[in-house]
Amino acid sequence: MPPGDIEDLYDAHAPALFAFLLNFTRDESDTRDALQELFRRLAARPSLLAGVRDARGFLLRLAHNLAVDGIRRRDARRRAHDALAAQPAELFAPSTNPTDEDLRALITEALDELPPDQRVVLQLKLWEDLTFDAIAHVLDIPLNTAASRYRYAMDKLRARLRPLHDALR
Amino acid sequence: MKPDRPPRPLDDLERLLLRQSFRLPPREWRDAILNDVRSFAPAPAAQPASARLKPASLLRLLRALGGSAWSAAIAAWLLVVALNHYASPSRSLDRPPMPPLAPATVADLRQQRLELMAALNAEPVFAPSQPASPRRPSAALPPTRHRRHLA
Repeated sequence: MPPGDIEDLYDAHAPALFAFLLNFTRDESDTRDALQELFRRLAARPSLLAGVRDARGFLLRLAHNLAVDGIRRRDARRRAHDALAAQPAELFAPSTNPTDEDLRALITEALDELPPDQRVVLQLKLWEDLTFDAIAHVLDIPLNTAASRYRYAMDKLRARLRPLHDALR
Repeated sequence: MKPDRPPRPLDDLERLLLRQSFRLPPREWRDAILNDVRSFAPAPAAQPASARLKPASLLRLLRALGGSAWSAAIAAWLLVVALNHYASPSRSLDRPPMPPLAPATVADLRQQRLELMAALNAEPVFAPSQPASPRRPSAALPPTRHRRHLA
């Protein structure tokens, strides 16, 4: 793959992959490792993307697999998930508006309390605008599981953010 | 693949969440990752494809060859072996013996030999060979195969 192609790929997809990985791992180091490994693989095997219709979906799936592999390597799965839930991460872009900052802090806390599996489904559905079918493919889970994880995540967020939610109505 | 249901409108909370924009990856990551990635890019093909065949891929290639391809390869190999065999110099030993010389030719050759000896006033160049001393067969060694046959 020519260097220009990999740069174009990075510019087109790295922001979404970064947000996805950071939201999943809640750790910048793990996010960086997974992102770097992903682009290494693309550079080493340019044919990976040949014939792929949905490059974003393919890359999100690859990123998810790499993040899971990284977590497995680093620690046992249960301990890793506990660690993921406990680690704070600056997920959203900073804002100059204090009200927005407070709002983002609240949402970040609420997202932190979600299990990682629900968090990634929420992100893929809301921010990546993927269908449940595509989410199921990316995460290699049944379609109904994807839909139910999204529903559970939204229910928890709604309960957690109810005061804010009611105030905004 | 089952199509999703028609998208339902987002509720308030979903719209609120959607308004939040994620952080971007740190700028220094871009150069660091892309520099690292360049070292993983495969080198441009400088050698022929045949030289880059790995053993595993060669094995797969051989397995993928059908029966007819194998038959053709064996036939070609047999043809090469046969041509090589008939073209080798040792084949001259297997030729049929020459026909006997005509009596007149034999007589001519004898005459030429006698004339040559007379011209040279030939004396024997080499001393007559001594009769070989009978060698006792070694008791330690078994008789050779040739001797066994003669016995």
